[in-house]
Amino acid sequence: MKKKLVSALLIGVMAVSMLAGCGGGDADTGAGSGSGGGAASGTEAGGGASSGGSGAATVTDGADPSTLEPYEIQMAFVGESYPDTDIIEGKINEIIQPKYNTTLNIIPMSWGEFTNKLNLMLSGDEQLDLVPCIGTSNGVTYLNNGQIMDIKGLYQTYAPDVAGVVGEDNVEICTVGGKMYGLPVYKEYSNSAGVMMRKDLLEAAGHSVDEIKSLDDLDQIFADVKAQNPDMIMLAGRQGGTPGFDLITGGYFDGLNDNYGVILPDDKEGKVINYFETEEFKTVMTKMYDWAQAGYISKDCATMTDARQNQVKAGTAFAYFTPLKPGVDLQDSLDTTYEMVYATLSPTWRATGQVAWIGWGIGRNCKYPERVLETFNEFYTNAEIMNYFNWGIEGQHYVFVDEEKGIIGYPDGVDSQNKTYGYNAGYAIPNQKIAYVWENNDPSIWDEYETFNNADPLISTGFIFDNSSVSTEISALNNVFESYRDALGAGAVNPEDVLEDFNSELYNSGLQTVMDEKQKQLDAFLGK
Amino acid sequence: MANVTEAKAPSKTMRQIKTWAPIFLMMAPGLIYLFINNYMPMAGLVIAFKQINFSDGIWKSPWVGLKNFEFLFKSKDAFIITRNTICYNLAFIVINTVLGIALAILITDIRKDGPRKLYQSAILVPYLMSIVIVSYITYAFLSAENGLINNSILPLFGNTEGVSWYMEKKYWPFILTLVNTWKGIGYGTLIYISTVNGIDRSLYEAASLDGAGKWKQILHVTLPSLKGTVITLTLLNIGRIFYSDFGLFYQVPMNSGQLNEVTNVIDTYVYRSLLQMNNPGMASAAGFYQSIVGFVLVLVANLVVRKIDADSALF
Amino acid sequence: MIQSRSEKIYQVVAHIILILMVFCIAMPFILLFMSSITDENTLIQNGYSYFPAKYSLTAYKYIWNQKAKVFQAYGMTILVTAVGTVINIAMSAMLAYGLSKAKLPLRRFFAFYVFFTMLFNGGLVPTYMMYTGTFHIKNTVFALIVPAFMMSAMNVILIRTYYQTSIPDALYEAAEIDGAGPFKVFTTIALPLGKPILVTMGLFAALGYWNDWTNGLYYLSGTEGQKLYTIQNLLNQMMSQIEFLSSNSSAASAASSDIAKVPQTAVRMAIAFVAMLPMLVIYPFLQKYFQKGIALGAVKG
Repeated sequence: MKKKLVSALLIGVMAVSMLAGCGGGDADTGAGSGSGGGAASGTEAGGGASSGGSGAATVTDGADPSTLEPYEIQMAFVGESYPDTDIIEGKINEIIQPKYNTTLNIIPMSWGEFTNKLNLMLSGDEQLDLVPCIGTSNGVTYLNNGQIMDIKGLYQTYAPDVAGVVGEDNVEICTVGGKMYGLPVYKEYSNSAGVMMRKDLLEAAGHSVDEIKSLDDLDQIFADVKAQNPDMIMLAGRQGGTPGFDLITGGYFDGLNDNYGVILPDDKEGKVINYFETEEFKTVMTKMYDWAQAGYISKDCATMTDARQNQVKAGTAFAYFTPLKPGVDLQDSLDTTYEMVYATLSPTWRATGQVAWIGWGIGRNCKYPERVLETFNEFYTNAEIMNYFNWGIEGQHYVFVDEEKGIIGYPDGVDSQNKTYGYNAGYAIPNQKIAYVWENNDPSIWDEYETFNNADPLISTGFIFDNSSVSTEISALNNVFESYRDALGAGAVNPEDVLEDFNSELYNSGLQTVMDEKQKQLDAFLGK
Repeated sequence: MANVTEAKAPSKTMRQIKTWAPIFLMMAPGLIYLFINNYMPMAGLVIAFKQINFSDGIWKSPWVGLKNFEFLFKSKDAFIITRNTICYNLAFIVINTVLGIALAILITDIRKDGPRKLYQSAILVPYLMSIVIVSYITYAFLSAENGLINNSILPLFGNTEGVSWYMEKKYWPFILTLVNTWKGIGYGTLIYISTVNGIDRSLYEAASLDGAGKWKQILHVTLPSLKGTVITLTLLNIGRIFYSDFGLFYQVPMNSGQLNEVTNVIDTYVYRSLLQMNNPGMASAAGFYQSIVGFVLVLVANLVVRKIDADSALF
Repeated sequence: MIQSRSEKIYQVVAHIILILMVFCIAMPFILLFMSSITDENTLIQNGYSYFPAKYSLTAYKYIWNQKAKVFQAYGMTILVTAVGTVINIAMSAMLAYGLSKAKLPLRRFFAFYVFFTMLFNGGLVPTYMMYTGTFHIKNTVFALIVPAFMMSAMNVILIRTYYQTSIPDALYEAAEIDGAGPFKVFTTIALPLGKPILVTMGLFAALGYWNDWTNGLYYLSGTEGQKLYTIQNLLNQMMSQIEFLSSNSSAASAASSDIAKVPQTAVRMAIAFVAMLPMLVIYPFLQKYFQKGIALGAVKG
């Protein structure tokens, strides 16, 4: 791979130096060319370009793009496959082809398929240029397996506007062991756990969210709501998403990728600890046990497969723990059909797992990484592309509800089930904030994002763990963790009885080795 | 005379070729397909011994010896998962064989065409379902708060407390066996039905003339005719004794950790181990381990069968 | 034919046992169907029931909304199943027939060669690399037919066993004496007499194709590949989308306001039912091939 990369770089450099003579005129390739549309934040992204140093030296700079070999960019995307995808690609190509002589081919994969499909496609000889690495562990393994490229030396030159969109602090988040596997997107960046509740029942019981400052405050509320609604359960949960773990993984600690050895939010030193033997863990799990005993949590909680929102919608549940972000109450209200309110139950902090939730990498068989990056850079700043990509074509896939504010909705006769295009996947596209906002969302939502995303980082924020040297231990730990997680989190077992076993099994499976390795890598990251 | 025998030697080979060439020609498509579909990718088994790097290619990736196998044995659960895998598989083999033969005999003996076809059709219905769906149905019966058994059946027996099925491991060996039988019985039964249907009717007539009753006919005609099929199926199953139906042991118990001691088998262990790991080397190592054990067992079993009844041996 | 008393009792007992069996098989299946037409809220509140308080066809409407895709996928499945099954049975029967010959040169080697493939496989990644790299079947209809399902060692071995145990050599010899060549013997003796096992194995091969979603998952991708999706691929895709959205509230929240409208449990059940339906309809028509064995006595004597 190195060899390929070096030669690719050489070609790039040669191209640049050859073309430099022709006078580096039109600096149109960079930012700012986003034609109107949503918020104006695209323009400020231009500032990020200069920080890249050689920001202006792009492949197409000053040259007629049509002299470059036409290149179809294969872009994997996780989402449904819509019949109008070809039309949308055509629209986007109208924008990118004149500038870069590249065209886009979207390869949609559903959520159940993408792990398998991506892994296979990256194993063979297929061309796959833009690879969504979802979850840091996927990015790290793709990189370690030589399935995607290290883009550290490339992105500043060829994708100079990314830093302006996602922030200087975040742009290199997908870096592990000095190599960078992907580019983050603009989404929510912070962790914060909270409890989401039905407002009507809460108020009927004579309470309000303002009273809730800690987990213990929920005791009285649940008791009162339960007294009025004896058939309801208080806390919804599901298989793999039990209340106890929804809460703690929502913001109680930085799990450093797998929860085997964590960093607490108030830790200033960067000491990796085993959360499962902390007093806090025991307290939370004991609370779950008590609540389950009181009938607040369903006996079926650990085996249920219905979404928590659907349980509330069906009228069987009152509340659930959930990760918070701006606008989450509005969305959950729509999902559950009841007005929902929330209270925060953990500190809010900028988290690696959120910033690097998705990293767009470059596949190893990509022929022109530079040109792909250049084209992708355009995605970060061009509102037109983002609107096409996320929502489709105006009049056909969406209509304006309020053109001035950039709020859109479905055209007549179109709904979520019969639409022919529309990923509605702001969390995965490069820059959702320059695109239009879907109706029922607050148009000022991006201002709230600014505040939320600028929450203080933890000492470990930015650190990504490479588990390849301890994979044997991780595999054993996975098995132990899986056999205790749901039962504890659903309050089905008394922590008094099982915590000791749980921890001794974790240590027997090599927890200390993993923690030591984490500590070592974290120390290196912190420059200790 | 001498001339004749001398001339015969080459012509015998010629005749051998002439006799068998058309047969080999008929076998060729199948043999070639197996070569392409099964043998060619087997070269990829080396991944089990390598630290794969796709940029370098499989062959140039560094060797790591048995490191990829370590995770299979390092866990203290290694004994439990091996025990579970083997015990369940043995139970399944015995139950599916006995029940399959019994049902096949009963179904083929039904005289009326209509009911016979109905029975024969019904037995295959569960086989058409994916195991995920079976797990939902199981859940519909066993769910603690909403399940049919706790809500409708147990109260009939005066038990209003209900049972937390997904928390009590003592029930699961039976539940899993029941589910597996329910879902899988159609396969064996249909094979046995076809074998029973293939039995020469005159054998029964002869037995009947000798005064043999129904039971004796089954004992002396039907069962001996099924012997070959039973042995073949059993040997095939022994070869796969280290494999298990992942869905049955993972989805049907709803991945309930409380049940692990009785539901964890090699396939579920490997799945949980490699969660979020995407490690082709370790996955390949697990498969290799399962294959090699099955291979050794089946070689031994086949040898035993060969000693007793050479015709029934697999190879 | 006059039935003896004991024969009569036997018939009654057999019917009772088998009716019990049908009952055991049918009850869970009926529950599956009932939950697919149960209102989602009722399902979550009251649980599964044979007599739900409130019915709803939303789940089927959800699938019906994609009818163009669904029917195309059905067509694809039928095509693949038909072609694949015919090839499968032809290859299996010919190979098994050869292996059943006691005097076949290198017989044990070939038997082992076939059996060995049941134990070892190269794993997914190498298989994928070979099929896409060497044979270029990606995004073609061959991707659905060729890998994994075109022949199974299991079927070959079972057919061979049947040939060995159920068809006496004397029959072949008689035909050969009559001057029939090897192909003729195969088509006039082995094929018709092997019918019970060949139909059964054909059914399993067909079910294999019908229920398969892995080939589509591995070898079809992009909008181009998805045009070739079989019904199982399509339904799996729907199911996984639902599963993801119900488990992963945080990441999906942008889209979740759309999805909460989908009745999740009922759709899962409806999907299962839709996937099985054609097989349930076709299967009884195959029954006539499961005929009783043929009296061989005459030929033998």
